[in-house]
Amino acid sequence: MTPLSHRDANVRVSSRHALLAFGAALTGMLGSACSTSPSAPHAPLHISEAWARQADSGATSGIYLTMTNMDSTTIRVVGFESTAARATQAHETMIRGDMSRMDMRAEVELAPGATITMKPGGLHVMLIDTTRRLVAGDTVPLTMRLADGRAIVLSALVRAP
Amino acid sequence: MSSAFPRIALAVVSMLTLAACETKGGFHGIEFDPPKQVPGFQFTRADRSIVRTDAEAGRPQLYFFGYTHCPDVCPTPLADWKRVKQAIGDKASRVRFYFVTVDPERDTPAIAERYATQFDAAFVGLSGDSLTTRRIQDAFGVTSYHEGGTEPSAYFVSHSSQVFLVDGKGRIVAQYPFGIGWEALRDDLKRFL
Repeated sequence: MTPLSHRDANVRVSSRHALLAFGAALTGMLGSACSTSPSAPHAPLHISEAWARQADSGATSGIYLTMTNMDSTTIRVVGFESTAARATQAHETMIRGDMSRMDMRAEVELAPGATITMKPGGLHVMLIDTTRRLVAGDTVPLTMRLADGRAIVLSALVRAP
Repeated sequence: MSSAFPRIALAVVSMLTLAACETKGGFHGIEFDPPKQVPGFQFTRADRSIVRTDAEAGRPQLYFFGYTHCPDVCPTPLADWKRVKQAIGDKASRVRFYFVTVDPERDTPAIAERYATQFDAAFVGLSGDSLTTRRIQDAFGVTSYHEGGTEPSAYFVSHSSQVFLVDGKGRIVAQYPFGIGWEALRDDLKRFL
């Protein structure tokens, strides 16, 4: 498994019924936010560089991250949730000519080994109507629901815009 | 003919070249050729005071048209402006930084001002009435329209995403498409300071 660096997001994996995790080797790196299970030898998604934009309460923010499919099968992320916003959705910004527009993405699909980088001006997780002020240095929780029922739980560091 | 003539001619040519360089050619952004004159507009702040965007000699202006519910594209140019301002140093105090909302229905003057000053206290957030908003967008050739949303108040706005550089005579001299990089704006702006 690709080792996590200090820049990786705080991540854990769960099924519908029980919390799964990365494995004993990662426990020390991830700290208390992560638990372990022999049935979960590794996380299906490797998440890194997760960050969110600073925003006022009641405003709109975005979460950006890089994720890699560590599984041997295609992964479909079909839902995004965060307690930091009243609605959390995947959106993609498209620039055509000088016009920018956003389209909601019902799911994000990753082939085995594929990496998707969410970054400004492209794919991102949108936090709509934030429930609190997001201040630089704070963290924002994010749960990504996979089509097979598993979930990826992580926290994104808030940065100045 | 005096032997001084070639030196005088060279000096004249140099001065003309320098004068031309101030507004002509060599931009890192996309040049407006010829520069496009835009009028000044009047906005009312949240405290009811007036802001006018009239041209001022020696004070270039930057404009970006966006909206505060825009989480992805809109923060990027303003974050770039902050880098530009820091890179230019003291002379940046002569630059007018205008964030103009294309969504005045939701972005009140207070919200637009708050949004802009989150990036830098010198950035001016402007929210006009519908007529002013339409006129300033027309002057800059900026397009915007509402899209999607599951509730009447939860729509998105598709909009032009470039930054405009206006010289001290009130002329758009260049524009900077999203993603061009803040260094292009920094280098071009220096020509007017």
